Amino acid sequence: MEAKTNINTIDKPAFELLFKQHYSNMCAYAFNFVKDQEVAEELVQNIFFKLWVNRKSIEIESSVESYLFRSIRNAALNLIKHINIREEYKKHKQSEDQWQEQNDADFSTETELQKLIRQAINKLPEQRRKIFIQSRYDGLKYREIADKMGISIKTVENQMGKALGFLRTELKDYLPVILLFFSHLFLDE
Amino acid sequence: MNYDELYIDDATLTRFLAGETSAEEQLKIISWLDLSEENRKRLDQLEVVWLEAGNLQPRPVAVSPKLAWDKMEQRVDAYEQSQKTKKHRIIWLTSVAASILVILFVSRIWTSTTAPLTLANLTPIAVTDTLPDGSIVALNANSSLEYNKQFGKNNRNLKLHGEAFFQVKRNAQLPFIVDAGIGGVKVLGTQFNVKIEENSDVAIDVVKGKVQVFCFNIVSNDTITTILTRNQSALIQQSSRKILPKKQLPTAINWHNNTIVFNDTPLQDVFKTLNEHFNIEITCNDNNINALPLNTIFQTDNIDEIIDVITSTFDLEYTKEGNKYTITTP
Repeated sequence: MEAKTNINTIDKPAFELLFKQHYSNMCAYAFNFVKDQEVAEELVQNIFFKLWVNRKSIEIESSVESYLFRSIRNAALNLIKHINIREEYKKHKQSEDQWQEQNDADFSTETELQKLIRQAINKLPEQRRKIFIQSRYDGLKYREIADKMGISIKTVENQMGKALGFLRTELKDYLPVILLFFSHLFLDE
Repeated sequence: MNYDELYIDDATLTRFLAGETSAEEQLKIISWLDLSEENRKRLDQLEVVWLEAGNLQPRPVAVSPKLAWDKMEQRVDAYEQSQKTKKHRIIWLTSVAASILVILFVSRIWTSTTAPLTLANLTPIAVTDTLPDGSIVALNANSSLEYNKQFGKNNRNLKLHGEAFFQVKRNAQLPFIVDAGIGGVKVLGTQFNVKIEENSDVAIDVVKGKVQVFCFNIVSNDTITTILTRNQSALIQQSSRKILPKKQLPTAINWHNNTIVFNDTPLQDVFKTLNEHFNIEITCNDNNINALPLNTIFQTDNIDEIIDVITSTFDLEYTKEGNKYTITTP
C-alpha cells in the first residue's frame, strides 16, 4: 500500500495511478450491485470524473479508497432505485444487504489470501485476465470463451493454465502446506 | 512409467479444475499425482487458488483499466479545456466590467465636476425653490436635495435628506424619482410630501395624483412597491423594510406654504408638528390638555400668533423662554 493520497492537491499522473489502481476493484464492487459490466464501468467512470472535477474542494475524512467505494455504492443504489423495477430492486437489495454484512465497502474484511489473489488477478495481462474471469466467475466453458473472443480453444486452455499458474506462484508463500486428499475431485465424474 | 511421458502442465491441471477434462485424462492425472509428492503439492496449491479465487466477493470483472483510463483521460482533458476557456471568458468579462466601471467612474467625476448640485436648507424655516425641470420643491428646515447637472434632461433623480414637498411638473418621459435612503417615490407628475424621520423611516403623503412608493428589501433582494393616490399616506419602515399604510395628517403636508391644517388633531400632535416646523419646544405636562382636539387652519409663519390662537381657543396660558413654550391651565 502506498502513502495516503491527498485528493485536494492531486495532479493528473497521480490521478491516473489512483484510477488504474482501483478501477478493477471498483468495477467489481459496482458489478456486485448492478449485475452488468457496462453499467458498472460507467458508474466507476462517473465517480472518478466527479472526483477529478471536485478534487480541490472535496473533503474526505476517511481514505480516498473508502470514499470511492462508498460513492460507488450510493451511485449504484441510486441507479437501482432509478430503474425501479421492483423485482430487480429486491434482488439488488438482497445483494446489498448480503454484501453489507460481509464487507464494509472497502474490501477490508477479505482474508489476506483473498486480497492477494485479487491483486494477482488484477496483475494478469488483460486478455488472460478476461479469459480467466469468464471461466471462473461467469462459468463459461472453454469453447464458449473461445467463440466469444474469436480465439482457439487451445489458446483459452493455455491462457487459463498460465493464469492459474501465475496465481499459484504469486501466492506460493501463503498457500497452506497441508496436502489435501484429492480423490473427491474425481468421484463426481 | 516414464516421468517425461507423464508430464502434466498447468494448462491441463487448470482444465481439470475447471471440469473440462475427460475421464481418460483424469486417470492420467491420478497416475501423475502418484508419481511424486511434488506433483500432489502442485495440484493442491492450484486447487486452493482456484477455490479461493471463486470465493472472492465481490467477484472480479473483466475490465481493462488501461482502456478505461484512456476514456477517462479524454474526459478529464476535455473538462480542463472547457475550464480554461471558461476562465478566459471570466477574465474577458471581468475586463469588460472593469471598463464599464471606469466609464461610470469617469462619467461620475465628469458629471460631478460639471454639476455637483446640492440644494440645502440650513435655515430653521422652509424654503421654496424651482428645480431645473420646472418642478417646485419646498425644503423643510435642515433638509437638502442632491441632483446632477443632467437633472431634467435625461433624468429626474433626486436624493433627499430631511423633508421636502414636491409639486412635480408632469413629464411622462422622465419619471421623477426621490431617493430617500431605504426607499423612495417615483412619480410622473403630482404633489406629495416626503419626510425622512430620525430613525430613517420615510413618510410619504400624497396630495394630488398618483405616486409609486418603493423600498429595497435587502432580505429578499428585491424592490417592494406600493401605489398611493390622492390623500393617501404610507410609511417605509426602516426596521422591517416594509411599506405600511399610514393615516394622513393634514398638518404634515402643508408646512411648505405656511398653511397648517389641523383636523381634529389632539394638541399633543399639534405641539409635535409645531415643534418640528418652527424648531421650537412646546411643553405641556397636562394630559387633559394634550388630548384636546384642534380644528383649524393656520396661514402664518409666526409661531407666537399660532400659540396665541391655540391657548385662547382652549382657555390656556403659556410662558415663553427663548424658543421654549410651556402650556398650562390658568
